[in-house]
Amino acid sequence: MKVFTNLNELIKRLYAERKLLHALFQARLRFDFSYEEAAEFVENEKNLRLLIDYGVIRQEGDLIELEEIYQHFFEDVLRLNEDITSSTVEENLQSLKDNIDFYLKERTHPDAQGKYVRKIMRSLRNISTQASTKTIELKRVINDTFRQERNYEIKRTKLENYLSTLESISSLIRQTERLLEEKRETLDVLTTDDRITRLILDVKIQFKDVFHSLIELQRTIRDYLNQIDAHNRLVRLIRRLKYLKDQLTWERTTNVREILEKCSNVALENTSYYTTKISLSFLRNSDEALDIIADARKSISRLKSLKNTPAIPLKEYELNAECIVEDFVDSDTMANAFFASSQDLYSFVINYPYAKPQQKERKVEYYLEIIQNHYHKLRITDEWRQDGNVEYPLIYNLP
Amino acid sequence: MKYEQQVFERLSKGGFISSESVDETTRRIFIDLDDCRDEYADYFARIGFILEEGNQYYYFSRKESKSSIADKLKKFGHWVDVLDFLKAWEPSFGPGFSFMTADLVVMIDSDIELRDKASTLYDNKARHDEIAERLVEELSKQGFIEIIDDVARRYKVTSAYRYLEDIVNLIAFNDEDEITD
Repeated sequence: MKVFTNLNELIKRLYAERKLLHALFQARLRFDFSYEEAAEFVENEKNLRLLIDYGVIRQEGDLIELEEIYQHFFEDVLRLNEDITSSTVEENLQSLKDNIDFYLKERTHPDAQGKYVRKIMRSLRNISTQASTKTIELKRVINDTFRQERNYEIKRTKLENYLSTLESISSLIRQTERLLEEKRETLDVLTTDDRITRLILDVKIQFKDVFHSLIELQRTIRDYLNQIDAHNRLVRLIRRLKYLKDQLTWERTTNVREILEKCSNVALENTSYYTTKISLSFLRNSDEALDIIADARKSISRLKSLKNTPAIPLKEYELNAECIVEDFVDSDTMANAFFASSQDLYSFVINYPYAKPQQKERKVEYYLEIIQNHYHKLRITDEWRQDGNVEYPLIYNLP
Repeated sequence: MKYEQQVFERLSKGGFISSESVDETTRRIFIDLDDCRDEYADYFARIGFILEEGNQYYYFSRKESKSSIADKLKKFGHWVDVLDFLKAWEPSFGPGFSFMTADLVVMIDSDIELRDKASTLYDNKARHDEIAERLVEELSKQGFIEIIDDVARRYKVTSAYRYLEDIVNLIAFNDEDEITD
């Protein structure tokens, strides 16, 4: 991995790729920033590779993310950190202790002591600013967690963690105060002027403010935890009640019956509708009512007239059951007609007015049918005629 | 006391008036109710309604209930089903929570537990979108939710919803130990 040789180079590089860094920072909680997506933010892919080489961003498979160290730096500076710990305050307290110790050991070298005096003042300032920024951040994070974390168990655990962070910050403040008290004599003579005394005073005032906020925050967290517990209890109650209801035992295992017996809320009644009668004096005495009556009259008469207009009567055949006309020729009817005529049978059958046009073969069939059924009523002659491919004897009815 | 009629119309049908209603008139009615609560209470007491105050909502009760205990058990039983379903869908469902009907349908489609619970909510509804529609309609008719976006069909839960939770909280179980598990 390459390392930036100086700050100037680092800042230049970060500035050149500010678009990508901005996008990555915004997507830091999503973990779904792809390499292709990242390539759109840089001029060429070489720049992207360069950032990876320098350890500013990290490539995990197809995904790109900001290196931890840079992400933390940005979050700390912008005060967006989600994970708040008391560790930095603790480190500063340790360095304060050490530096006071070193100062005392360097009694014989006033030049070297000056270095430690500066370090002591720096640690003091750090502790107070850290404590107050951490408290402010904690407040924001606690509120965010309570409002936005939708999983109740995670929410509870997170809030409990914040509670312990909060306690450790307040214990660090107490330790620092104790240290300042113990080393008071040493500290008071650190500088020739009253700079250190003033600084200690400022720090103490700030601690007091922070302490008050911490107590307030502690109260808020406990309040939130109580709300979560109440909510969890409610969810369990509902589950249990539903279970007992489905088991049909809830009237016996709970006091739901008593509660509902006592409770006469309208919300639990079936919806009632109020019907009111129209005022007669209003109908009699006002012009408005006259219009209403006229309107009502009209609509009633329209209804009536529709009801009273008779429909056109149905025709006889429309009343009959529907019948299907089949292509059927009654040879008996045909025979009877034949007996009234003087034609020969074949010509009669061929020229008979059928309901539907018939094939010649069918007509020959009817011809044969009539001969079979009415044989004794027919006079069959010996004379034969020909019609196309059909040869037939001349048949007449008996005189 | 300016809104006797509106208060009567809303509350006598079993509705609620919530403080953070989307509808401005309702909010104004709530403020007036809050300001002249005693006057309103006296006024309605004369016609047999008791004005009750919950946490940020008002409703009516009577001295003597008009419906039988069996009816009340049935009706409250249905609300228990609804509560159980809503909590299973979204544990944070409560006043201030907002949702879209479409979200609900998607969740019923994808979650087997919800599907099971949804199927028992209404006798004659089987399709998931129909169940969601019916539920939303019922909740909004009762005043537990209000529409805040007509186009997206987004609803917000009102403080009146606490009424249901409050009744559940009143109920004591004979075997208290099992619940605290």
